[in-house]
Amino acid sequence: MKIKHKITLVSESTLLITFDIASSDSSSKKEHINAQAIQVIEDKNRILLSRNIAHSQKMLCEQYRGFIVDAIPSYTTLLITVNFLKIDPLSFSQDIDRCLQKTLSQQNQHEAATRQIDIPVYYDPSTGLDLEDMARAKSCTLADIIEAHTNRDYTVFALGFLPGFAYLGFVSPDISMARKANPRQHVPKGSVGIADRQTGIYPNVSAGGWQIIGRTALPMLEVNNTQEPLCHLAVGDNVRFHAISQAEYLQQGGEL
Amino acid sequence: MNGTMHIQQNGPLTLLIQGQGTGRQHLGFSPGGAIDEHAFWWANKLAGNYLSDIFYSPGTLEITLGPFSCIFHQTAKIAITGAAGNIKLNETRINAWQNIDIKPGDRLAIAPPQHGLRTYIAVTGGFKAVSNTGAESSHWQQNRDLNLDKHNQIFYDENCFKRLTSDATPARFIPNYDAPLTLQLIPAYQYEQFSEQAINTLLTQKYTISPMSNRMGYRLQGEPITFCEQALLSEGIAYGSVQIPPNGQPIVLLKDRQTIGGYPKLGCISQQDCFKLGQRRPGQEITFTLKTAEHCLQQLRTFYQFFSATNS
Repeated sequence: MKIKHKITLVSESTLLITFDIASSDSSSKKEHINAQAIQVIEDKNRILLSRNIAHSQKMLCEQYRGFIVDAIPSYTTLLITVNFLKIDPLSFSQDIDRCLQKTLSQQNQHEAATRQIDIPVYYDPSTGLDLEDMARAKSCTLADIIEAHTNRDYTVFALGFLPGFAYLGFVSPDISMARKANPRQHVPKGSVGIADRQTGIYPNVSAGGWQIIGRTALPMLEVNNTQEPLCHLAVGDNVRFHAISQAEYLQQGGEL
Repeated sequence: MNGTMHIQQNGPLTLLIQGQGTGRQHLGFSPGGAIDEHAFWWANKLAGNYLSDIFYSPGTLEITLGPFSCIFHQTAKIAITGAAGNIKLNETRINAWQNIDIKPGDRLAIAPPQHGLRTYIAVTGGFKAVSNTGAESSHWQQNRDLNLDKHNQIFYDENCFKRLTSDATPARFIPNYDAPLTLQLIPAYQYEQFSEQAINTLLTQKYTISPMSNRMGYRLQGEPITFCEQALLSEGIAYGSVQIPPNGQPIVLLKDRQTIGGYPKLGCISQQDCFKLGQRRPGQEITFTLKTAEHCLQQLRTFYQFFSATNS
């Protein structure tokens, strides 16, 4: 797999790096595999991209401390704010370009996640506000949904919408579900939700339209006045959910 | 920090703009900061606070609309800039865009502006305040700007003396916030994927500022701009991004913007035009023109160098 990148200046101080995978599969080969298999390959490519974007972010921020003031990773992009009084963004983009060519060369690519994060979830109709509706819509049991949600690894693709809100992918097609037609005004803190093939955790109480299937007591973002906020998840992390009992959830500080 | 000030009237929104606004966007925190940096940095220059880092704000009040009034308990040197109605120090009328000596017990009152939206008050050495709603809630507001009301204790350094390089802003630098505004757009992001017709609409039509505009973004109303491509993956949103939601009405994203988003974007408005836009009122009209990033960057460098410590 070859990871390509392109850098453009989108404002006076901001560089957008777009990443892409040049697939080595020939198109004739693709015709012989079914849509499901193509989806699997696409998912794997997305995850590979995400890991390498996260790695590029970390590497660039360390190498160019002082010149890069913000770096926002997302699914296929990294948006970099440059301190343009210290360095010219255009010539800086050439430095970054050379640096990325080395980092993303095939022998240096990152396939494994740097961190493995485990998230305990209490899956129950009292916390998973849409769990029963989802089971009805999918003609399955609550246990089937919980099994499908906990039996695989997810990758953090992006953080945003709310501070600390992580977009994780991909859920099994068996539990993939569109957002609610009418978003809730009040989704409780720690709620675990599904939107299409993504899953995510509300770090704080918020309005929101994701299908809620459970709740975690684990703080996603810790903020206080004196320190930098601590975010439990970062782009590129590998995440796994596991089901806990009501007693465990309450013991961990969870609220009903 | 032996100087204290109390707010008596704070209007719909009074913020303490302060500190480092960068470094946390990857967690989903918007950068925050002054909406109109032109007035913001003039207030600070007049008070003797020079720019050392473009992403660091000396503690300054940003008052949206007002009316605003406060009492200073110790001596201070302050400056008021931006949009401002009648300003009274005790019973005396005074002008904006100059520095003002404050004596203990002085009461400052600013009437709502007739033109523009936001007033800035800077003090030598900067204001400081502690959140009264708890540190956590202030952080959940997304950034370090502090929402102030009558209950906040506001501090400043009474004995902070700085070399002043100007006592008043020359008239040619004082903007007319009612003047027609053409926003310089740096084409970027999905610009190339918009149709020729969509770009033509953007560059020839007038857009009206919607009442649903705020520090997060300015919503514009006018001829819709169509985008035919399919859904996009969310990507980082730069300051001044012009986002086109499905209804085709552009939104210019400002300091309290979300950090990522999946709507198509035409590019970014030059930062200095974002400062000007933030003083425009709902109902005012704007137009767009295309400019290169290099052109806008050169202007912006000159702007910041004018306010920087090495230049002063």
